[in-house]
This record gives sequence, C-alpha cells and structure tokens, in this order.
Amino acid sequence: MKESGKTEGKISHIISLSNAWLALLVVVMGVGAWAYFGFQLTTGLIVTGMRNIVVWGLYIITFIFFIGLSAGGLIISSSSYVFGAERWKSISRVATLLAFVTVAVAAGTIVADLGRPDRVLNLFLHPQLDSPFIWDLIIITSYLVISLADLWFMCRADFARKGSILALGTKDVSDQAVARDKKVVKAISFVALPTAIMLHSVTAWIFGLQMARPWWNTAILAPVFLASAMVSGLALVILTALIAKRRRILDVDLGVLSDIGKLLAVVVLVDFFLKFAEILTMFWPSAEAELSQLFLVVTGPFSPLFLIEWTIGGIVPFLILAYPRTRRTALGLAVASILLIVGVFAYRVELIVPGFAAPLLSLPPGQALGQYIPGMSSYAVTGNYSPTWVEYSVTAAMIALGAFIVTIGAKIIPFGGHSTTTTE
Amino acid sequence: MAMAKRYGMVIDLGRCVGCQTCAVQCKLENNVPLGLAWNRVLTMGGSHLDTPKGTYPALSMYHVPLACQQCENPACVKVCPVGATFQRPDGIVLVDWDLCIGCRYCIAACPYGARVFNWGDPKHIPDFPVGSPDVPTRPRGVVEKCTFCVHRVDKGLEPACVASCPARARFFGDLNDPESQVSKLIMEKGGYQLLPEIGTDPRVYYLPARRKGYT
Amino acid sequence: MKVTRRHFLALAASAATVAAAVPIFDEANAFPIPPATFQTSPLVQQSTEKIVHGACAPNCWSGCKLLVHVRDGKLVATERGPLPDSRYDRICLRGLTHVERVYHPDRLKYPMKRVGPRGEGKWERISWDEAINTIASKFTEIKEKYGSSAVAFLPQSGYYGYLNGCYGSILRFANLFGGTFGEGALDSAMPLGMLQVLGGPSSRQGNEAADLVNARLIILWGSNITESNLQNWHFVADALDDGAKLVTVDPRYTIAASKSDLWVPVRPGSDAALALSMMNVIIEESLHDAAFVLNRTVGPFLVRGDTQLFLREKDVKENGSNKYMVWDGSANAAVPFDASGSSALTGSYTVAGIQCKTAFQLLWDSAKQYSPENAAKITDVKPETIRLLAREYANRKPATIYWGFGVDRYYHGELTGRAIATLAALTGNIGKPGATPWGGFGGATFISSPLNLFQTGAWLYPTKSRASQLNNLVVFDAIEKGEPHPIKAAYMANSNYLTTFPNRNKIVNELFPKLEYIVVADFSMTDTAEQADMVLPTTTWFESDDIVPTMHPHVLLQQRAIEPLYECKSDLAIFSLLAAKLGFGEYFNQQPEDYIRLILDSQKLRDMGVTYETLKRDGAFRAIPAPYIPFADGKFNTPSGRIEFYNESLGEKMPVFLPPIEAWPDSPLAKKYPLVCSQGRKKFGVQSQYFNIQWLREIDSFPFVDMNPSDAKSRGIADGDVVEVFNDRGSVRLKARLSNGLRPGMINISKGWARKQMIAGTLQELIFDYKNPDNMNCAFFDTMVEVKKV
Repeated sequence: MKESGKTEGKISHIISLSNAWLALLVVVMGVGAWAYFGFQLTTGLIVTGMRNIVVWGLYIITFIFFIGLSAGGLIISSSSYVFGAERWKSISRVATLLAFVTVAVAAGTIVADLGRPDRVLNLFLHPQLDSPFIWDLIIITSYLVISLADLWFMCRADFARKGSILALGTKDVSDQAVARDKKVVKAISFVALPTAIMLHSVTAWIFGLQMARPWWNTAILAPVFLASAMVSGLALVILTALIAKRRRILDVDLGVLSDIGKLLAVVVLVDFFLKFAEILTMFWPSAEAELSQLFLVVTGPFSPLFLIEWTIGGIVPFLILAYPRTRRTALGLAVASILLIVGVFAYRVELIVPGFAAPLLSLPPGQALGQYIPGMSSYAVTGNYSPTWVEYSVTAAMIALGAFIVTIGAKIIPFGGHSTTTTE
Repeated sequence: MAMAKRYGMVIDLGRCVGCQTCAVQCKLENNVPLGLAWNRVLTMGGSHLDTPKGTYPALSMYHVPLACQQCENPACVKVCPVGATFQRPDGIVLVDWDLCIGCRYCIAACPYGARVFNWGDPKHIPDFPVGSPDVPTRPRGVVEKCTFCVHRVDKGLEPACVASCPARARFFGDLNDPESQVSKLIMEKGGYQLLPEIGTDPRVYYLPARRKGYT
Repeated sequence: MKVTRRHFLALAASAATVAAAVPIFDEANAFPIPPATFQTSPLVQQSTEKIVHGACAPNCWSGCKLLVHVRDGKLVATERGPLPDSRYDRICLRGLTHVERVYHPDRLKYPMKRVGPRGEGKWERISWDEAINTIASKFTEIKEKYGSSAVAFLPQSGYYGYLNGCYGSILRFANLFGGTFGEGALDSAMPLGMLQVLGGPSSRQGNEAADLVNARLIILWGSNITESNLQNWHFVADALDDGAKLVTVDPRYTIAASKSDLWVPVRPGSDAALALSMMNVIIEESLHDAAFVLNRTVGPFLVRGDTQLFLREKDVKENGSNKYMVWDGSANAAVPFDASGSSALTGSYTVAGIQCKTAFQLLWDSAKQYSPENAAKITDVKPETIRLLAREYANRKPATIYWGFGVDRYYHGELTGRAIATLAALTGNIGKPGATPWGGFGGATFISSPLNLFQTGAWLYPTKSRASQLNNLVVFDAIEKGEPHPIKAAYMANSNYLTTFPNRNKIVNELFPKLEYIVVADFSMTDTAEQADMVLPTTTWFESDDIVPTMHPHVLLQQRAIEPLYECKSDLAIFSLLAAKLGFGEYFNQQPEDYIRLILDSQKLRDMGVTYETLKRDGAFRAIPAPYIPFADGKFNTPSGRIEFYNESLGEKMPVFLPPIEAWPDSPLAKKYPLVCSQGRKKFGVQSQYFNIQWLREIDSFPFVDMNPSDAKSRGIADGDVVEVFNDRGSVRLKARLSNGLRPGMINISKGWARKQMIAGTLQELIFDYKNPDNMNCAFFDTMVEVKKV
C-alpha cells in the first residue's frame, strides 16, 4: 500500500480540523436530541409543520433522500466485484460504508416520523405483508446486514493485521484467507446489487402504488427512484471520495472518480428521460385534472423546486460532467456532485409535498387540520407545509449522525485504495 | 345460513342542506378533539363554505357530507404496516388504537381524506369525556376516523349522524339485503359512489342532488 | 274595531279574555292525547347515567325536545328526544353543543359590579347579598323619584320557558313591581300585515309545519329556512320527494335557493311589488279562485268612493243596520250582505248617489299598475318569471307560502305581509291541507296564543298590579325623551339588546347614559353585559326546571339535569331574592315545581289528561289536535269575519308597494352608500347565542362580509382582505369573503358575532332605528353601506 507523504504541520492541521468537525457534528446532534426528546417526544408531532393535509414532510423526504443516497454505495462496490470493474475497488470501502450509513440514517429518520415511536416494535411483532412499509422494512434490514457484512469482509484482513477487535477474533491473514474474503465479498455483491435495486423500487412503491395520490401513482416511479437514487448516490460517493482524498485518508486516482462521473452523467440522462416521459404523459392529453396537478409543480407554488431540480440541479451539473475538461477536475466533480445532490433533494421535496397539497376531494371548507387556533378555521382546502425548527434540528442531527459515523469510520477503517491509471 | 351483513350508508344529497348537524353530532358522540373532524360537510360550488359556483344569477351548489366511506376494498387497510387498521366481517373498517404507530400511511392512502391524526395531546372542550361512554378516548400519536358508530351498531342502533340528521337525509342498513332501505334507495334513486374510478368500492352511497330547474 | 298591536297583545296576555269573535281552537274537537311512552334513549344507557327530559329553546323558536344525559353529575350529551308526534322530532348542530355551553370557560360565575366607567370591562366580584341589596335599593330609589314604571324589564326571546324565559318570572316580577315591560318591535311587521288581512292571533295563522308535506308548491319567500328554520326543512324535503315544487324568492342565493326548482332573485325590499304583480297576472288571467274570493273575503263588499270605507246599510237607508252592502246582480241593486245571497264580485255601482266599487274591483284596479313589465323595473325580476310564478301559485295547488323575516325587515314590512296574505286569499290557498299563507309555524303553543291551556294568567298576573307594556322602540323613546313616562333603569335577561337592536352607537352613547342603573343577567359576557352596572350569572337551561311552550304544537318539560354551576342562579331564583327585598316576596317564595304545578292547574289540561306527572313521564305533550289547519272553517277573526284584503281601518287600505326608506336605489343615502346591507341568520348560532362555542367556531371561525366579486373588484378588494363597512352611523371592520351568491349591490354580514370578535366596531352600528308608526318594527335590512379596503 502506498503511503501518502505528509508533513508534520499538515498532520496537526488536519487533526485539529477533524476535531473541530467532529465537535460541530456533536453539537448538531445535541441540538437535534434536545429538539426530539425535549419537544417532539413530549408534545407530539404537533411541533412539526405537518398537519392533516400534508401528513408527511421533512422526515419522510429525508428518509427517501437518504435511501436514494445509498444507491451509489452498493452499486459501486458490488459492480466492482460483479462486473469486475477493478479500478473501482479503490473506493469500494468508502462506497460500502456510505451505503450502510445512509440507510441507517434513513431508518432512524423514519422512527422520528412516527406518532408512537414507543410502539415501533409493533412493526416486528405485527407485520402486515400487504404493506409496502413492511416490504421496505424487510429490505432495509437486509440491506443493512448485507452492506455491513460486505464492509467487514472487505476489511477483515486489515483489522486482523492490526489486531483490532473489529476483526471479531479472526486472525488469519494468509493469502488464502484474503482470497476467501474476496470470494465472500463477491458472493455478497451478487446479492447486494439486486437488493439495492429492490430497495429503491420498494421505497418507490410506498408512494407509487397509492391510487389516492395521482402525483405519485405511476408505474414509472420505481424506475425514476432508481435513477435518481443512482444520481444522488454516485454523486455522494464521488464527493466523499474527493474529501477523503483531500484529507489523504483515501488514495484514489482522479481518473477513477472521473469515470464514475461519466457514468453519473449517463444516469442523469436516464433520470431526465424517465421524468420527461412521465411529464409528457401528464401533459399531452390536456385533461384538466392532470394539467392542474402538473402545473401546481411546474408553474405553481412549487415551481422553484422544479427549476432547481432541472436547471442548477440537473442540466448544469450534467454539462459539467459531460465535458471532459470539467469532469476531470476535482473542483468540477465536486461542484457537479453537490449540485446533483441538491437537485435530487429538490425532487424529493417536489414529490412528497405536492402529492398531498392538492387532495382529490378538495372542497370547502376542506380538511380539519388537526389544530384548533381560536379565531381561525380548523379547516383548509389545500395544504401548506413548512418545516419547523424541530424538524430541521432533528433532520440535521440525523445527517450529522451519519457524517459522524462516516468520519469515525474513516478513522478506523483503512480505506487505502489502489491507484491505477485512468482509462481515458 | 343468512348472508353476512355488509353495513352501508346512503346520503340523499337532494335532502341534504349542508347544515353541519351530522358533523357536530359525530364530534359529540365520539368525543372528537378540537381541530379534528371525523365527519365534514363539504360545499360543491364556490371556493368557500356555502357559496355557489357560476355568476349571479346563474348559480348552482349542493352539499356533500363526507366521512370514512367504509370501502369494500379499503386502501387504508392494505397499507397499514402493523394491521392497526382492519376490516370486520360486517365490512366496518376500524382502527385499533392500541396498535397504531402513527405513521400516517393510511392518511396518505385514503382518497377521501377521511382520516385525521392526533398531532398533539387531544384537546377537548369541555375537558372531560362527553358523548358515548363506549367510545374510547384516543391518545396522542394515533390516527382516527368514522367508525360507523360501531358501538351503536353492535347494539342494533343507527350511527349517531343518521339518527340526528334534521333533513332526514341519511340512511343506514345492510347492503347485502336487497330489501333493506339502503339497497332499495340505491337501486331506485340512482345511488352513486365518490371517486369510483379509484376502485375502493365505498359502501357510502349518495343520491343525486336533484332540482334541475322548473318543468 | 281598530286592532292595534297593543290591543292585540293585551288580548293575548290576559288569560281571561278570549280573543274577539270566533275561537280558533275548536274545543269541541279536543282530541284525546295518546299516552306517549318515554322511549328508551338510543344513546347507551349506563347504570351511572341519568337521562332527563330537556328542551332546546333559543330564539330559533324551534323548541326541540332533548334527552339530556348526565353521568357522574356532569352533563355529557344532549340528543334528539322523542315527541308524542314524532314528526316533530329533530335537533340541530347548535342543540348538540350544550355540553360545551354549560361548561364553557367564559361562563359568568358570580355577580359582578362595575368599577370604572361603563364598557371599560373592569369588574369587582361581589356576593349575591350585596348584589340583591344594591339592585333593590337602586330600584326603590328610582321608583320613589320617577315612579315604578321607570324601571324597565327587557327580555327577548333568548329563552321562553314559563319560569325563566321572556314571558316568565320576569313578567310576573314586572307586574308586581309595576315596572315597564318591553316587547315587540322585532319580527313584527309581517305578522302585523297578516293580521291586518286575516285577523288574529298571529301565532295561529298558519298551518302547522307537518302540513308542509301536503303542499304541491312551496314558495320560500325571504326565508333562509335551511339556516334559520332548519327544523322545518325535512317537511319541505318530504314534499319535494313527493313531487312538490320549490320556489325561493330571495336576493341571495341561499342554500334553500340551491334546492329550489325556481329561484327568483328579487331586488331587496321589492317583495310587495312582486306579490302585487302576481296578483295582477292571476286576476288578469282569471286564475283566481272566484268562489273563495266571493265567499271568504270582503271581495264582494261595496266600498264607498268618497270615504273609502265599506258601504253600510245605514249609509243608504234610514235606521239601517251596520251590515255591509253587496250588489245583487239579479235584483240590480245593492243589498245588505247576507251569507246566503249571490253577489257580484266586480264592478262599479252607484248606490244612493254614492259611487261604489266592490273591494275586489278596487284590488284589481290597484293591481293593474303592477303589470309584470312594470314590476320588472321595480323588482328586477323578468316579466316571464313573474308570470310563471303567478300561474304556478294559482294552478299548482295546494300551495304554501313560507315566508321568513327577510321580508319583514324593511320600513314597510307589513305591506308585504298584507300582499302575501292577499295572494293566498285570491287563490284560495288558505285553510286547506298544504295551503297556507304562513307555512311552518302554525299551532304554536307560545304565550301569545289564545289556547288558554295554562294558568298563565294566575302565574304572570298574580295581583291587579300591572307593568306598563311598551313596544321596545317606545322604550327607547321613553329613555331618551321621557315619553310616555321616564325610564331610568333597565333589567335585562334572556336578551342582548346591543346585538339585537339598531343604532348601537346611539344606544350606548345617548340612551344608556340616561339610565341610572343597568342590570344584565346572562351566562356569558355579551355586548350588552359589557355596558352594565351589575352583571348577574344565570344558570343555563339545564340547571333549572321549566315548562317550555314553543312555535309548534307541543309543550316541553325542562328538567333540571345538573345542579347550578358556580354561583349561578336561575332567573326565577334571582327574582325571588329581589322580590323578598322589595316587599312582595310572598309571590316568589315557592319552588319551581310549585309554580309549574300552578301553571299546569287548568281544567283544559286535566281534560286532556295532562298533569305534571304525565309531563314528567313523557317530557312533552301535543297541545293542539292534528292536523292544525286554521281557517278551515272559513271564519276569520276580523271585523267582517272575512279576509280583509281591503281593511278600512288602515291608512293604506289595500296592499301596495312602497319602497324601502333607505335601501332603495334612489333614496338620498343610496348615493353615498350604494350597497344594501343584509344581515342574514346563520346556522352557526342563533342570534347572538352560541357565539363562543368552539365546536361551531372551528367551522365558522371569524366574521366576514360576503360580497359579490364584481362589487369587490371595483373597490380593489380581494378575497380575505380586511375591509371597513361603513355609513353615516358607524362602521365595522372585518374580513371580506367573495361569493357569487351575493347579489351585486348587496352585501351580507351574518348577525350574531360579538363586538369583541370583530376587528373593530360592530354590525349594529350601521343600522338606523327607523320608527314606522304603522308597524313599530325595526327595519334592519333597510340599511345602506359602503365598503372600502383598509
């Protein structure tokens, strides 16, 4: 393994930056914990901005966003083993760690959304197999186990060499053992790839199967989820790899990342195509109901999200990635990744909230919102939603938790990496 | 053996005048908290309660009471991850308030907006239980909805909204019995369902709001 | 005999006198009341649950029977209760909120006296002893200075139980004290108009509500039935299901209009012209029921062209009788009217040198000016619609006119009443099943009926001492000018004068300052209570016993369901304490049950098998045989015994159209204030009651002014904007709500909001206290305003 050369000064500089970073994450997690345990758990979900029309908000948006972010992870790492894309092995550990952490964060955020988190065990004691939530529960659990196992087997030999307890008692670091590890990893990859694909499909089906929500109810939702998951997931992998490379804890060739960037550009195109197909299907028949639902998003109050999704979150990063000159730079890759992540987040918001905002039966006086404020009607015909500080804090805390685990993981997991030449 | 009962309701929109009595009766009977409603009466017309559509004087309006449609093919039952929402043999769809984890998936799945959620601790006025003693009070964090007054139906009584409608526009009975009042009303007066294309097959039927002009 | 309102009231109130000529209640056919068994409550009966009889009796006059559920000493539910005549079983959204009402946090809990100026809202809690002593000494002081009639007792129809309601202990007290008793001036123009044509008493002029199902045509005229008379809607719905047609005459597109086969969007205040135009069409096309007009109305009676009075036999013959004269066609002469002869219905004749016409001829002549084309200009209704309506009313029989107080609230409201009664007379739509000129309220058992079922005489007039009974508009005059006698103090109960009566600013700024002492007894801090010197907390209806008559043929029992809350006392209890201090405590020293027994102590009731015990068992009894269809015998309580569409005792002898004094396009105020201000009733309250009930406020949350979008647009007002509605008298600020159901040139603000619920000002500031001596009624809708965005 090639050691990166570091100066003493840089090391101390890095360590203090790292500590500051960790301290920041701890503070954010602390604020979120205070918000959750001090307010949401004691008073209920009324401390959020959700009410009876828009019943899912930032928590669910974050949930599906993080599920989506996990796509990059296992797809990269399992593709490198399944399809023999050797050059990607250098980032497979980072990718797998990201896969695990993002799904764990997603699962945690979902618990934050429950009205009765004290009854979360009911999901395991009384599961109803008809429910897409339960499908998601099964697949998330599987995914967590698979990704963790995958990561462990990738790192086992290194843990064993160091004598770390993370080796879980195994000591054999012979070539056979390493080769066996690799075989296990490869075997897991064959399972992980379809699992990853199912994860996004099932998550999409939570929404896409609901006839009550025409904005969601389309067969193309599962493919769209897959595509945007890959967009955000690959972008996250690239971004994290760039940061790790910058911090000198990961040695990966820029060319590798640029290759992933090329794949990412293609996936963005696929994502655009699928979404365009859906929009055209809604738009062309000129049926009033579909048109009004579409224009609610495209030109109505949600149009800023739509614009972000397609322009700075879509076309701009696509162009950055499409042109080799920009794609091959760290800055270009970083900017494009960030923009794509923002764009996918905007898509997630644009999916959830408008799905509720205009109910099928929206006649006056509307729906009883769930809160009585004297002097104001308890009813509203259409839904409004903006997250409260509690939602922001709890969500930020979950993200911080994920970042924290990744940061700590980066310390204890030897990312290493093999640098190879670019293929361009 | 007699065929199992499938309870249904018929609401005559020609008689309904949107008086909101059924909405308030439900609130009392079931001790529904402030800010929530199991039963609402909607205006089909203009953009506000009790306003018509059209331009003066060419106007039209009617009212639609809306609560849980007690569907034959309930979307809410299918999505509930813990089976807190379930359907009885007589068709009535209920929520088990001890099982519900408050995920609100059923609210997302219901096309009629029939369900409401206890976002905070339920607030009542007066602050002690009123209405029927047979309806449990619900805690914070669970979903609730019209139960077809199952506590009354099980004693052979009609739902409270049916009993108190001043227009006598609501009817309740066994849809499996072709001689029941509800079955006959649906057949003879053209009872229809809301959002039939969704496929939930509601067991609440509406009779048309008539009065089409002077003939 | 000139039948003035006061005279009529005196007739009604005095138990001993039976109203003039012919009894409406046919005692010969008093039917045996079938024993009504107290049915088991549909709500679950728990062993810890007590169910008592109750009545919901606010100013909707619906008088719904309740079953009141009490659990562990607390009221937990009110539900629709069964009546002996189950067609009258009903309840509405408001009657279901009593649970909240009784335990509302805003309830008045203890007596309070004002500290600081009136209306500041600063109160000091005092004991009942101090309160009663203070009031007694104040009243005594005023009595000594100005006379006992200087203390005015001012109830309204907030409740009408015989003990605690408007014609209850307050009247007994007022009589014993010799004070003034204010009444009327509200909703009294239309009944007066009907009375001037059909004879009294007004509460008995219509068929009972259950009769609506027999009509083939129902005309809702200025009636917002689905909000203000919800209790009667199901009868209309039954008629419609049976093939009847429904017409709504209303400038606003109400819910009733949305259920109608025909909606006539009439110009506000022009209803009499519409009715007269209908008469024109009916007579011109010979659609009238000639036989009915001939035999039941003054139609054939000859009227002198010189005096406009009926020709009497003594006018043409020495020592002739006072009989009316008719024209006998076969004899070609005028003869005294004799029921068995034949007479001409039309024509001009000279009798002993006097030019005469039949009353019907005069009506026809008068109607000629109201051709549909002419009337269209007045009413803004298309001529073909007027023709359609007229023909339908004449042909589609039996037909009921169900009018509401929407048409009462203009300066000349009684003319509309006379026109409608005349329309019914022309077509013979009176006194038959399904046919009546006043649908929905017949068979009322309320005080102003001559049923004389109860010993209300003994209850309300225990001695010879009498209160000075004055029309409320006269009460205001008395406060202001001291005519007919000064009024220096007021005791108000079951009323909210400041949200009821017009010209609030004048009342608060000019009239109240002239009152040395104001007491308000209520269970919430109403607009009026805010201005009082002393506020007394009363019990709600469920905390005391009472007997409740109403506007349908039943009488209800109100059983005390729970003990009085806080330090509240019933009106009867308060008057008992006051009476003891003022020296006539012997008339107020018994229990409510004793007074109920007193009221029920009549032979008529005993003959009907009704006692306090049966009442406690059944909760109600039906007082009038079914079907109640007055005038079925063709006899009318008028001087002539016939329908007097021509009434010689009045200034305007026949119904004519006179435009509203203010709410008319060419009135002087209309130039500055071009919008007619109507104040429709809403179902989310009854007058100002229920204003703070949160179950209702959840849906109907804040005051708004309904405007037509075109009126709003031309004023730059968008939906939801805060606007100011104003005129010369005052203003109110509230939100605007755009509705296409509003007629352009008209706005609507629902009556019933408290002043503190408005953003600023209040509705009653806008309305002027016009006094038309012909009807002494408040003309609320005769108001013009302008609206501007703020």
